[in-house]
Amino acid sequence: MRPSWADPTADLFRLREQLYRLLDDSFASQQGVEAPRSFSPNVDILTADDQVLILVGVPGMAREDLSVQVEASVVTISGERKPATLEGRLYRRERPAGAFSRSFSLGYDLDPDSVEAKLEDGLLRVSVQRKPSGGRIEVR
Amino acid sequence: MRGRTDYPLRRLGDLRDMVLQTLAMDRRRRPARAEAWQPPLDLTATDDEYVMLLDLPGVPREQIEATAHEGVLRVRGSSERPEGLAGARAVRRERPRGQFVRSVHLPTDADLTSVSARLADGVLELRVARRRPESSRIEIEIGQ
Repeated sequence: MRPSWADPTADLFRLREQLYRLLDDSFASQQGVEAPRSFSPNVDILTADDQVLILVGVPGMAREDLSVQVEASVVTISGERKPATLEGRLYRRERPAGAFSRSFSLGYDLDPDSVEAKLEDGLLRVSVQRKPSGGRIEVR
Repeated sequence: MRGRTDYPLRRLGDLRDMVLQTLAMDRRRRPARAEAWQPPLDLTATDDEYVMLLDLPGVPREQIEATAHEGVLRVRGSSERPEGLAGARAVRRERPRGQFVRSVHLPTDADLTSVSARLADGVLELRVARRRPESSRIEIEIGQ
């Protein structure tokens, strides 16, 4: 799998968000009162030997709104982040909400029975083992 | 004319620096220098308080610092590197790392001596009480 470092599209998106914040005074305007309609969690993927660890940033999400699927060499993480109910008058709304589904293709087949998923402090940690290859082939 | 008018110019200067910094990437297409990232913010006001919500998934409580000073509520801290896999190499890295900071300049009726903070499921919630209008009005006696 081709390693991906800084994604220039993500950087430009972040830059746009920072530009937006820079030019706005917090209470001077009420722009941005609609929650960003799409949510795509940030994902880190780490591999070591025969194991892969996927870290997904899903702040404020409940376990039942997340699902993890493993098939062949693909891990799919999907869910829906419900928009927060905010009290009072809105001045700024940047925390995104919405449904998402992200799939990652690892370089090898994975063992679905080995999936472990843990949600803690808004971080989903998924670990999957590589599927053990079929028995040794004896060379006669 | 100095004073308030050069403040937006200074902010544009900050923006220019940020553009240059984002574009100045080394051969592996990484930012040349790490800058503090900004967690997304929701900001609301009821009659009684200002409420600030920040997304900080996976950041432990002890790595977050919230301070109030001269009308500014500031949250800063650091998100640690992910651990848990010995000898791992990163195939993808999207989660922001390192220092973060987010400040909100609150209106004058914010009572920064009365701030409560709560962290749950990676969301930091700060509540700042608002002073009642009567109590912030001061009568000034004019002498001869």
